[in-house]
Amino acid sequence: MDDVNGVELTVFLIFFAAVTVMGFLAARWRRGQTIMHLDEWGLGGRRFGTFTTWFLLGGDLYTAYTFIAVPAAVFASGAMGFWALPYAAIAYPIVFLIGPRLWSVSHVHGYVTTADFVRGRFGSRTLGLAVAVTGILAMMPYIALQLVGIQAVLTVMGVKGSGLARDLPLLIAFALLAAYTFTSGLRAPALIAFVKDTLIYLVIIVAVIYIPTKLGGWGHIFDSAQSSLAKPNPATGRPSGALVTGDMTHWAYGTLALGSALALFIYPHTVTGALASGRRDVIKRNAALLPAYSLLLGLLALLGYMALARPDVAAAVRAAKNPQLAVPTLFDHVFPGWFAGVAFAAIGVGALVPAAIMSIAASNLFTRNVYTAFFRPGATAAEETRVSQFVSLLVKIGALVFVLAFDKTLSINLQLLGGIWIVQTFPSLGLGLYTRWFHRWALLAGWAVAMVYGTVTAYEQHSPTQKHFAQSTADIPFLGHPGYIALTAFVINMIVVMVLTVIFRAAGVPDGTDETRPGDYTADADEPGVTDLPELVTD
Amino acid sequence: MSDPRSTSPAVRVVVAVLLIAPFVVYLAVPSYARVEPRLAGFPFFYWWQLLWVILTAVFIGVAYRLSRRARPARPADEEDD
Repeated sequence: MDDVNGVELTVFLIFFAAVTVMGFLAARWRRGQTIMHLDEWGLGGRRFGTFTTWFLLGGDLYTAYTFIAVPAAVFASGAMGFWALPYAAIAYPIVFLIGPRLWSVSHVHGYVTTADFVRGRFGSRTLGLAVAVTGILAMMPYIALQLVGIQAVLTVMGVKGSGLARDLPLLIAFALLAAYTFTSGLRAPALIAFVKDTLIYLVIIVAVIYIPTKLGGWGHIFDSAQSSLAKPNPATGRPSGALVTGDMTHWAYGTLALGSALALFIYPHTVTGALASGRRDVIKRNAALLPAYSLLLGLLALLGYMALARPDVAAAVRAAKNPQLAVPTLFDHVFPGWFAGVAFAAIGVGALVPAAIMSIAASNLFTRNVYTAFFRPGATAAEETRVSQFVSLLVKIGALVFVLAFDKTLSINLQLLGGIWIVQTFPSLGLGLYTRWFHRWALLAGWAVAMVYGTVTAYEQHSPTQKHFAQSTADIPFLGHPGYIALTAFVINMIVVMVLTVIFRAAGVPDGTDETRPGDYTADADEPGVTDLPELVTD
Repeated sequence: MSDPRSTSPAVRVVVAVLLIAPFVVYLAVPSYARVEPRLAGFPFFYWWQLLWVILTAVFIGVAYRLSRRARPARPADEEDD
């Protein structure tokens, strides 16, 4: 592993080059009147059907997180790392409930972002700003996770060194990403998502059929993984995990799944993907179809056990002290060089697509809900697009800061940190789609309290190897079991919101005006008032 | 669920149950935290959760059909891709 693997790297680079060319050509694909309009650049013209939306949302949801971070968690801690599967299942009833309503109200009122909706629903630019800032903040560690994924693949292919030489390939990859996102907007990731998913399906199917036969079957994989997990970890002196969750981890398992499920569909990038669909029903249908990806996620998670079942792979990963390398090292040892190259390309492209969508979503938030709302109310559509393009670059730089500043031994914590923040917008956004009972200032107060609680609690988590942000679970107050901080903060958030709403209403504190009507939440395309591209007309 | 104006209460209850069931199953973590019985080498913990991914998809699909049928007929969806 010390030398660069020529075959792997060549195959990887060919795929990467092909994808980059596609990214630049995407600007021409199904193009509207002009790309210099935020709807065109940032929502792909809002015209995608079930098929494209399925790929686009799948591209959002299944990322380097799936291929690198989840198997790494299973490799490092056993059953505890498998919480990503229940998360990826129970997220979809939530998508089914809130997605179509958000689609309808956005298409009636021309909302491009979640913060647009919150501002319109609660008549508060400030609440919209809070949602926008949270979204931008939460995207950065999630994009950082994608960078970690690419870095893991490059490391196993032998592209490593010290200082600048180590980070250079990563910087080149992201410069390319930035360039084609800049020119093609959302069309680039939507088009590349086809390639990415084809590659990923191919690799997963080969991996879950071929590797178990090489390793003596699933039964043997689970048994070897169990004995490997039972061995005391040299750092802590305790077993690193078990095949099933224990008494002290049930709560953590459930709360991580539920907290992440609440987060999934209010992340700016998933909303961007959903709003780009052509009809309301497209989202409902996708809620039933997307669990196909979850099944793959579950099987991919088990690659962590396959890595444990191969003593040479497990030893190499442990020697490198980096569980992120579990899957790439497994592929490197088990697959022929050319196929390992294909698999690494799948992971690399699988990190680039969501990173592009995420940075577009974050920059839409900034342009619409910070720049236009507070600084340039009269900005033209072309100016909005220009600002978004530049902000998408800044967001990627922010993500780099997270990569450099945070411990990468368990990169899943990067995504969980984003979750702690984004879940605090669920009362205004997810619940706001169903009820207008909450007072706008109560929502703002609940959000502020929960953001502070969540950030401080996460900051205080330490481990033998790390002083801060070591994990995303902490003891749940009054319960004595560790649980996901996002969910504890969410409960605090809701209590504050409800108590203050009652107080503010009783005291007659002025509430904002709701610009939406009940019918707006169920409107579908081809109904009066629903427009495909509300702003193009005035362009 | 999608349109309260045209969905009967019975259908809404069924849709609610279909959508809540996956939460109940998955959040009852101790109920499936065991190794036996195994299926094709998979401990119960794993095959049970994988099985429920498929069931969750089926439940949402049924919920979608039910909430659609309850709505006034509209022309078949035109897919644009």
